[in-house]
Amino acid sequence: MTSSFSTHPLQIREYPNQSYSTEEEQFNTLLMDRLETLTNQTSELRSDVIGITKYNAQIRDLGEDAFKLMEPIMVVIEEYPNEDSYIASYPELEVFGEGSTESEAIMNLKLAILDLYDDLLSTQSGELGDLPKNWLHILKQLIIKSNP
Amino acid sequence: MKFFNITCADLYKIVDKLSLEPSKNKRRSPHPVFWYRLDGRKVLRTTLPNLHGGSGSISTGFLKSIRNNLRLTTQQFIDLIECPLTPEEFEAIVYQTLGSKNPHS
Repeated sequence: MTSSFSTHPLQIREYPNQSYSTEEEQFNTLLMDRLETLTNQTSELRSDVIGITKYNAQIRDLGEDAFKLMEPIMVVIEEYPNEDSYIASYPELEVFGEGSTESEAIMNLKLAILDLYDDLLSTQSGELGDLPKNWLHILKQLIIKSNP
Repeated sequence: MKFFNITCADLYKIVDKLSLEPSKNKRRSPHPVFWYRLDGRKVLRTTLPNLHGGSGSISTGFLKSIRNNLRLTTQQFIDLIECPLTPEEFEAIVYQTLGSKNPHS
């Protein structure tokens, strides 16, 4: 029985003395592009499945006295052990913080949340798209700004 | 190009290509933030690594977070950096993912 691979009419291996038609060259290029795409997807899947530990953590404050959280919020922590890297994120607001430790990532996430809050407050409402308007709505429900 | 080989300099090509607008607010975070405007309104926001902050290597998690902020698949993200993905095509992706109607189509 002949396998489907051996009956395939085009080859990607290059032979020094073999000349290729334009069609074969185009096919080879296409094949190499697809191979690279698959390599990327495989690498990403591998890191997703093997390399990453994902869990939730609760934060109770934003690290600044002037801003209080109405209630504790759940954030997502992703650990990339092969790179000594952590990402802390709050998906609802599409913000994240990175760090070489979990606590550093959480601290940077808190700063990113405060930056987002200031950024949105200082932007005129008409300038914001629907998504950022929703972020601001969420943040206004989450954060109390206390007067010094 | 492989996703994991993207450098800090590569990422900053996106800023020019998509005319990303740096956030003007004084920031607490160590990394700069950029907005993407669609029809004059700020619709997407992402954080890029600090260009002057180190050797230029970026963690996988950071890259994935940027890619997610921009609503792109890994391949679209690479295409954006390598140039096959045009600003107009990116705009079409954003319209599609945000569920907005593209007036140009």
